[in-house]
Amino acid sequence: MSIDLNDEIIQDFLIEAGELLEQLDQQLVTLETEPDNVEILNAVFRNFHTIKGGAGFLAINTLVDICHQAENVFDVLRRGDAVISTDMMDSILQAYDAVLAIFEQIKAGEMPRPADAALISRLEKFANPESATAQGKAPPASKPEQASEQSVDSPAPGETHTPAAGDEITDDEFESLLDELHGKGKHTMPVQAASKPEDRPEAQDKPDQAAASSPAASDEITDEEFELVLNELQKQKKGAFSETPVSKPAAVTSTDSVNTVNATEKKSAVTEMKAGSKDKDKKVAADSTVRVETGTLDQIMNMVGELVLLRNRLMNLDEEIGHDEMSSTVANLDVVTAELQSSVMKTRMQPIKKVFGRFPRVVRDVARTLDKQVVLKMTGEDTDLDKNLVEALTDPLIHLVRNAVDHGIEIPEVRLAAGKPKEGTIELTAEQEGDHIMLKISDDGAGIDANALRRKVVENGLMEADAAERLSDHECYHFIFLPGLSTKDEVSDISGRGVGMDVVKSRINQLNGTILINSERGVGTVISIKVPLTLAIMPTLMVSLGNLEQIFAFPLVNVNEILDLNTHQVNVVDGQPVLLVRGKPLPLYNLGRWLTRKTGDDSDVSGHVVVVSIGTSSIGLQVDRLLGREEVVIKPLGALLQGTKGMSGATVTGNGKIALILDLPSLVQKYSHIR
Amino acid sequence: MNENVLRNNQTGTDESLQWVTFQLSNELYGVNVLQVQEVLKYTEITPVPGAPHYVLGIINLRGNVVTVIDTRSRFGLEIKEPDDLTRIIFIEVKGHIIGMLVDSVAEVVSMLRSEIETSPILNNEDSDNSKYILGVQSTDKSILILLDVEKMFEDEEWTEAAGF
Repeated sequence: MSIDLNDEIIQDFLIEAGELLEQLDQQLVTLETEPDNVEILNAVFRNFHTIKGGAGFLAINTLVDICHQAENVFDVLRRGDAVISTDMMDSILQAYDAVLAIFEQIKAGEMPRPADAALISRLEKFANPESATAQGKAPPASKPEQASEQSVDSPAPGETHTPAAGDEITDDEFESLLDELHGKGKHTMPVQAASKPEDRPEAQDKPDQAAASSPAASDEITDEEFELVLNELQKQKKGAFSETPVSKPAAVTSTDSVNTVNATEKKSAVTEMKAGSKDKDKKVAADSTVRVETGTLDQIMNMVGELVLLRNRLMNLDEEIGHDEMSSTVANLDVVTAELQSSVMKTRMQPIKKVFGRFPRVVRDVARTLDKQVVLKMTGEDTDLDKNLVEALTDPLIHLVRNAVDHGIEIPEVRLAAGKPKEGTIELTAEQEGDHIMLKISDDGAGIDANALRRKVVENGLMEADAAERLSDHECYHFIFLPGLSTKDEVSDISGRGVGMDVVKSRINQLNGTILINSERGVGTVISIKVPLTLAIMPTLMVSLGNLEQIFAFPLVNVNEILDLNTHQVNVVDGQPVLLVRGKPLPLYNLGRWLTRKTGDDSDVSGHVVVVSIGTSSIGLQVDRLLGREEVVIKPLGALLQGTKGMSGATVTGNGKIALILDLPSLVQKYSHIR
Repeated sequence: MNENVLRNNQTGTDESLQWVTFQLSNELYGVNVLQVQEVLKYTEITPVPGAPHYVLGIINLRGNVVTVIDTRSRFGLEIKEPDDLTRIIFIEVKGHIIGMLVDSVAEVVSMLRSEIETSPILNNEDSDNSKYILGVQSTDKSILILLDVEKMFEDEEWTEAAGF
């Protein structure tokens, strides 16, 4: 059987459950650090429950099973019958992964394979902790656990048994029974049926449990059991989507039955009512938002980009013409366009939380495999950036975070010996700086051994020993981005997930970003990533080169400063022109000679120098004329030119000409041998 | 669609095909009219440093950046300075628009499938460019070389680009 992905109900489920799953991931890890946080416990329980509900409605039984077990575990935890252990957390996280896997299968349109039976039985074990059995005076005490979230059948064994056992209900027991009902109240049938018919199928998995528990508990059919049977009948009808008429009578019957039960039940019904109305409030709030296809947003963004170009052109024309009225109109257009641009950009903005949210889990898993203790601190999670960027940054960042745990943080013994706290700290920060985002991943680990890197570079024949010796430590750190540079001495196998540091770097470069490493032996490492807020529009510095005055655009993110060549002295060291800037030598290249057919003489020292940073190094690029800053929309080069070294794309400038956008890392790589 | 031309020919359907003809050096070439987007006079082309030798550069075609190749250089002919007759034929190949700089554009001619002959040099393995030739049509005075532009741009160029 396959799943019809065109079905709107399935699509809705996928979207909603997808969001819940995202929340769950973060909640689970938070829960591990704050096991006593009842709010989170409840939230996790609810999320599993809601997913289960949806899955049941769609008859995805594998998903129901696993969510159900997870829910049971959390129910036990919620009632304080068990304490979260790391083992338990592992199993729960595995269960979460299994849910994710099933989810992916559904997305792919296939009926999911059943979940790992061992995992389910492990969860079952956690859902029935020995502690509960030991503490319970009468067998019923443990029964509810099994039935845990079954709102309906749990009171049944409780009630039928208590009289049978002949014991009087102590206050404590009554209290816990109350709690139990209270907790589950939400899922009590009557109101559920009225408020949210979709949730009903959760009853699907009940019958087996009910069948298991009720005969054992009593031969008589209680009202609750009767209700159950009704539910089951109803469920069978559900396939025909006729639940509304059927659920009505069910609700009536059960309300009747409530009267015959004790007051507790009623109380739970009331609580449930409240929960129901809360749900409704949420619904109303959700209606004020609209889901929009990303494709549509991209299209709007493109058009706004074009509009920005047109505005630029108009502004250029205006300067030439200098008509008063025209000027004010263009100025207005400028304001409106800028606002439009920023609001469209805002629609595509997502908090970086979306990426950050995955790190607690990553850190936890890696740390646990390596027996390290790591605390993860995150700041600036609410920093917004372009959706595409969020997605594009996820993999590189995960790699860097894994690296930080794996290579950065030492094992506890080493840390203690070094006089550091046993727990390592990894700090993730995100902040907006003007038109770009600064991301920092810092750890207080061992730092990078520059000498080891020097050795490796020489061993791999990438550099002469004396040349490597001359490099500053800072420059050496850059070597970790070299492809194929094995630093095995300090590397364990954990970060071998296919994405090497070289890939991280090229990804960041693709985003017109820069990456910087700072490290101190024994103190820690800081990796800083600077990326533009959006990929669609890029601020650039326009320059022109050569006799034809061809225009080239520097991505502004790479530009450090602009110098006037006349005021600085140029020396030639080892055949390489070098500019002294504030006492520091800066290699100087003539961009015109690289990119145009200009052949002029070597002593040409007019013009300006654009100082750009590429990785950890800075170089000066001599240009003929500076044209100024312009925001551009990047247009990819055609298929024939894609991959041309040194060029990342083209754009149409304000005066309708074409400007090539420079890709500085590959530009320098390709041309730097030309002096 | 061009690839099917010869095959369909063999199956016997004889329909009329239209070709845009252009001049390069002394030869007349034709490309299927359905693949031609437009023909423009020579305009300023922005060179792209580091591009393959036969790529002249890029131009701004109503807001889109389009690559222009020097068809002479692509076919191994000597380069000619653009003049008044120089034209850029914009063709669409697999969703990409590419401009071909040619000496001049002549006319649109119609011919029946059955009139297309296979190229006499088609079997010459040594000639790299012969595989771009779909066929020829000979009249009493001259011969028209029909180009398979899809082949022309799909071969090494695409793979070169993909290999990056």
